[in-house]
Amino acid sequence: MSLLRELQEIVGKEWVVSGEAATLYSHDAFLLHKGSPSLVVLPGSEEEAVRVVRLLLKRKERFIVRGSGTSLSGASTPLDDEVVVSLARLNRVHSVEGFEVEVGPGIANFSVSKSLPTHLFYAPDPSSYQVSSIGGNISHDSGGIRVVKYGPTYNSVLGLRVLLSDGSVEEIRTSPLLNHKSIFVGAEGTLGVILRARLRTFRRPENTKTLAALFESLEKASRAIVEIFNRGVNPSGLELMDRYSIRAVERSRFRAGIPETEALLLIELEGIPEEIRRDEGVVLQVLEELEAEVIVPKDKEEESRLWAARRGAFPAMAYIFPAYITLDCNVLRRDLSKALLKIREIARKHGVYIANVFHAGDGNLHPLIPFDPNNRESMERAVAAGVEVEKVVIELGGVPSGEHGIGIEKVGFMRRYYTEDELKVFRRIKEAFDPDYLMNPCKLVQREDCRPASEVLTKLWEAD
Amino acid sequence: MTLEEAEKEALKCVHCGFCLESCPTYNVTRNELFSPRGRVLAFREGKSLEVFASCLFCRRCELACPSGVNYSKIYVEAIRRVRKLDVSSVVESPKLLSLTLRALRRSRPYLPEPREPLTHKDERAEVVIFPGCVTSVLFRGLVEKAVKYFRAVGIKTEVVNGCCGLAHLHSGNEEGARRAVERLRERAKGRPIVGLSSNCVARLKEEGLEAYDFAEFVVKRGLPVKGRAELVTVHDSCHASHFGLGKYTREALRMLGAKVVEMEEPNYECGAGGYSFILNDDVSEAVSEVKKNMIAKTGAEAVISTNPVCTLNFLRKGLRALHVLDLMEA
Ligand code: SF4
Ligand code: SF4
Repeated sequence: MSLLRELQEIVGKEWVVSGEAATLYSHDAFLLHKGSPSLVVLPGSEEEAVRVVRLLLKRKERFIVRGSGTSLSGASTPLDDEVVVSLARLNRVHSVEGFEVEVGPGIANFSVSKSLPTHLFYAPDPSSYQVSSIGGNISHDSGGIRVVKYGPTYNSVLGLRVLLSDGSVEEIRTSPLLNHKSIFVGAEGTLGVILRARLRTFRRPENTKTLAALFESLEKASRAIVEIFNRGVNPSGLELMDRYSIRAVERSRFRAGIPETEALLLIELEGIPEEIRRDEGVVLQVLEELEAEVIVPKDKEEESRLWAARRGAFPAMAYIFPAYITLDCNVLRRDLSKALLKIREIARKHGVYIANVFHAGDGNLHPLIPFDPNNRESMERAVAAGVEVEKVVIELGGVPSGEHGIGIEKVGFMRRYYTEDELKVFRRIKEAFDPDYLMNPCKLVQREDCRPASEVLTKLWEAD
Repeated sequence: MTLEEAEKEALKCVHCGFCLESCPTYNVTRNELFSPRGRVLAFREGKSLEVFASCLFCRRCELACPSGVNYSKIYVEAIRRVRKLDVSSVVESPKLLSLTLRALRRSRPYLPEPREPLTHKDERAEVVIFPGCVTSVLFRGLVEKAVKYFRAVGIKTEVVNGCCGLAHLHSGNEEGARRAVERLRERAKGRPIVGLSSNCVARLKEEGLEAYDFAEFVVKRGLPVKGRAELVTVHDSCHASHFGLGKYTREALRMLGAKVVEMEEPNYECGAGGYSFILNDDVSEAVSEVKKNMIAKTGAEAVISTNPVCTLNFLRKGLRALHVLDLMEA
């Protein structure tokens, strides 16, 4: 029987997409490559998902598991003609108890919070939280604004149900010894298929307060970030928007009337009123010492306008150019200033616009490099600048990706960041879990026979 | 709108997927073939355009899109190439519309009996009442009540029957849609238009006419209202909610003495958008079911619907659906 027929028998005819329509699954939010999936299959239950994946494994088909397809690194983009397995329909809330919630991998991050009693919330909040799936969040160890206080997805995962390449279904629980939960978080779907996740939630803070500070220089803004922590304040959000991202936002529907300045810091404090008052005093002192102009939003509406501007900064780039590369390299807070200035230099050198809007509290940079997808030269310049940014960050001791993942975008940087020995260890891990390299092939950890499927990918992969 | 404009809009899409969860057809399928992002990509690639056929044209995706993609422009261009059915000539003629609805009624007993549209014109009428094509033949009682109400509050009216062109857009008949609006503009002669079908009102507003939804007019003019105190929930019909018309509906209901219990997502699509109330398929049925559950959960005695196609869909689902006017004493 053909694969198509067998899959149809498991999930029903209407849940297998083939032919021209499969093009609609040719890429995710990473815009530099399009694959041509041979088939797309959408199982409707855990049992169906298990049968589908077992069938693919038995037939030695290469496949990609995806959720909402919002990856910025192409982790859910087929490189070539892999079968795409969408788990978007596995979006059930299985149970809510105490501070724990158990969900299917296809549920959107936002829907998790919605399913909780009002006094609880699910902490990780990547910009795509309205739509991105929990399975994808786990596979990328997604962060967001609240990382600075609550940590990335890793800190919110308590247990996983995973389908392994030998067809077995395993319950992975947090264990005090050789904690194996960690290996599936951030594995980008290369080691197993996540079927269910048990997540921890937090109690909603009683109050929050937002402060905004305008700086005349990136150095001073960077010093403020370091100082806030040095003086014992851990904000629940600490974001930086530079001149170029402010400019983009102010031209978009997210405009909040932010004056164009070198850097804007958005600081959120939370807790009981006394805590907030104490932290606010400390933060205001730091801001004053560094000659920032402080804006205290007059009401909740103004606060949410500022945060909406921050959240809208990525898509706002579309008002400048219809496509952009989003890097998410990470440096230590104390190196932020150096990294930011170097990035400015790179932008000048390559004649590109680089906007920076990022999770400053945890040093997770987001240089956005827009390009015109119809203009090769513009695309190449953007890629070249991106490669150089990553190099600079790695030289500063940073990591190539903080939260968007390696996917197909940053595999080239793996060689720059890790030694040959370390990469060998990665490959051994991969081979232990997936000896035939069938799961999300050529992402994150590559076998020698992976070929870049386009010129742009060649440039990115040969980045070192 | 032109092909060129539609292409420009499609190029603005950065494939972020932020529109997915806002889309009713995606909610019930969780499949890109039924998502706004999938549809935009299909248009861009010129492939699988049939994915537009299941679109309910509710435009919720536009509200969610952070990049400002104007989906309507893409939809109208794409649907023209896909849709076999074009009801433009039917909705333009009340006779044909009545005949068609009468025929449809045989298999759809929930449809009210079609009647001849009301014609009415006061001397020196200062306000135009625009029922909208479906309301004019299926809900003539509402039109009569509106005329009576305005007379009672001392406003002279003229009823102008016709179509706003929204039905034309559903089959990609851009030209017909434009002509429908132009005809209305001529007949209104600069007078304010009070609509009894809120999605039509939204369309007229978008085309720059001075149009008000019935409740909006009442509230803005501070007209007196009296009515029944019922426990109701409000459905915000899709296009109307783009213009925030729901707040006037609620205000008018408050003035009437009705009590509103809100449902989870008042502007969630009713499930009848596009031609779905005629072509009803699995997807639109699943959307209708989601909506029905939201309404049922409120425990309200009736759902207030200011747009006739939504009303018909609610009737089809066995719900009690009323217009604001239905609760009014006139
Ligand atoms: S108009 Fe409505 S049904 Fe159509 S794509 Fe947009 S949100 Fe979905
Ligand atoms: S939200 Fe807008 S830009 Fe993003 S995928 Fe949808 S239509 Fe495209």
